[in-house]
Amino acid sequence: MTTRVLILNSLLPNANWHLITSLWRECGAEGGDVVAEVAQAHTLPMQLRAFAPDVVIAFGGEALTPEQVRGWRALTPQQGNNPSWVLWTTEDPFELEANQAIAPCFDHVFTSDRASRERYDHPRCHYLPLAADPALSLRPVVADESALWYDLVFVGTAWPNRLPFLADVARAARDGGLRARFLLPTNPHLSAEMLGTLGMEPFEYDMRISPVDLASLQNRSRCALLLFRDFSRFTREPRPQTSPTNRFYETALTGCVQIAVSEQMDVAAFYPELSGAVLKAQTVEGVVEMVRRARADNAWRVAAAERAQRFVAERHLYRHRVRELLETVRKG
Amino acid sequence: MSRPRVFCALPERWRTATLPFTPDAFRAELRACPTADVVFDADDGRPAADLVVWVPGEDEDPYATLGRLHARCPGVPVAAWLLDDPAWFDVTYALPPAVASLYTNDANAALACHAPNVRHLPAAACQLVAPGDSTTPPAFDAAFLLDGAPSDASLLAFALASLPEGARRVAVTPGALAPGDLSGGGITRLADGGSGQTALLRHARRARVVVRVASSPRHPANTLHRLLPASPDALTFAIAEAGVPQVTPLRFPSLLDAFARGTEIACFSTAAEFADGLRRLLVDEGGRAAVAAAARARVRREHLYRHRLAEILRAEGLTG
Repeated sequence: MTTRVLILNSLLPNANWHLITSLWRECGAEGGDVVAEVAQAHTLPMQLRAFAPDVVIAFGGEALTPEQVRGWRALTPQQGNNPSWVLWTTEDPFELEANQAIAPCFDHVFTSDRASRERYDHPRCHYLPLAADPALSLRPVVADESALWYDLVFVGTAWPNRLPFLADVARAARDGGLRARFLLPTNPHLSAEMLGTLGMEPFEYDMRISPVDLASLQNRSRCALLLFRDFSRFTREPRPQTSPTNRFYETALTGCVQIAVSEQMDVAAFYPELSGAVLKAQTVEGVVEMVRRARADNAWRVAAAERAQRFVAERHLYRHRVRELLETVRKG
Repeated sequence: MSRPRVFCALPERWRTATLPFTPDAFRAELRACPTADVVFDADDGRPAADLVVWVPGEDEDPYATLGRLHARCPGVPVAAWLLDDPAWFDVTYALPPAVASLYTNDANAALACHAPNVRHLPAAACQLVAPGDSTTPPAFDAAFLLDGAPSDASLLAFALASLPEGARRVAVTPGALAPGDLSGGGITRLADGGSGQTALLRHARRARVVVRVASSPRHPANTLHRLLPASPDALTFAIAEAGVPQVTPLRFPSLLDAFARGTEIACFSTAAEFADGLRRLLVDEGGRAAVAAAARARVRREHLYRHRLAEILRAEGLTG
């Protein structure tokens, strides 16, 4: 029996548009058991009628209001169908307050942050991490060292709290003769003085690239830095993530060894199967040492990359998440 | 398998802002497709065809056009061919359900369409009938085709400091930089010319070397989704076909599927690589000519629109 899933993109424009794309495509990977469409807030009423979904997944959660969701829900019985309404939040714990406000409007709530699950006063709240999409991220691990472009790559927003660390890593990489690439789209919170500490010309780092290109750059790099966000607009206190993010799964699929830099999160402790395949560092020196190790032992680097890639490919694609989500919803 | 007949429907209003060639050049290119008989019209307005290839145009109601195409060629599948994604993404996003197939030049746009009948078909060039006026010496050593990214000023300032003696005639795209950024002197601000990519190509052909930093297209159609480009655009191929070597940041890794790094195109990740690549091309005349010739040869071998049309026919099962 086919399940009809309507994925609601809750934010426009959405910097995480590719997550919606991945979720949609991976619904199709379920061998025709799941048929999916993507809706925007302004097309949802029309698609509720025309598509007649069994499940509506509000993906992201941002920018939705309880009134909006109640209004949409009131439409469906009039139209003769009664889908399950699911909220899958992608920005917890940073947007927790906003998501808590809309959660009661949904039959099920899934949060991508493990510790945030306890923060919802909802009888059917579950932890469901984000994942990866092979169409976007899967690349063969590059074993031939001469085909690699970089020793270390980091692509991400240059948030103020990240800048000093990134500047130190960039300097250490230069001093250590490592080939590093940093693509750091800037933002208005960063002064020219702060950016100057990077020791790079703006045209070297101030660039946005698509998820497709990000995957290709990572694939041609020995190692990628994995940093986690820890601040929220709702508080001045650090609010760290408590489980791996989509970037972790996506990067693993590109065949690039990851060096996770976090005091709060240990990916290998989260997934013991990945011990030794995902590296951990607390300091700049630690990062450089890990990259040097990957340079010195190519066979080890390839084996680690393949192990992490296989782990994600077998268990952490969006098709796995879709299956889990729908099973949970069916159970009620 | 007999030679398929293709009716190519080109728009009344060509997207000059995003395409560096004329409809006539594109027509000539498609006629040169080695595996199909291509027509653009018929006396009775009802061309006999196995496939309609439709290139949507500017300010066009796509559904009205599709209705007309189906009326002219009843029962013939229509493949839409987008040459300038993701500039028009919001418009094209809704097209896939209305056509048999959709081909887009941009890999990211192909994924983001949320439809199984969308395929990535890279941009390409139209072969120049007369390969440039080789008797005219270049007016500039380096033409900077910038499009207003915040870091353009830093790139230009760095380049000016890196240019070798005797190769300091520099031209810059109009509108890319504020007047204050051009205070270094010796820089020509290129005339707009009013025709988008065609004008840029004309400027490129007046230079020994082109520095190209393509940032995000800012067409109003794409403002809702702000989809980033993920593939080299048509201007990249057109400049190569025009025989002008290019220096460009390694932003689109797929660029290196189309051209060989160093021998066909100069790519940089760091300021040092940029300075080195630019200096080499400006100083070494033989090397510069070799890169230009190799890139043009690659375009003529693999990256002309006739090759892309042949690929569409293969994908549609009309040729082996």
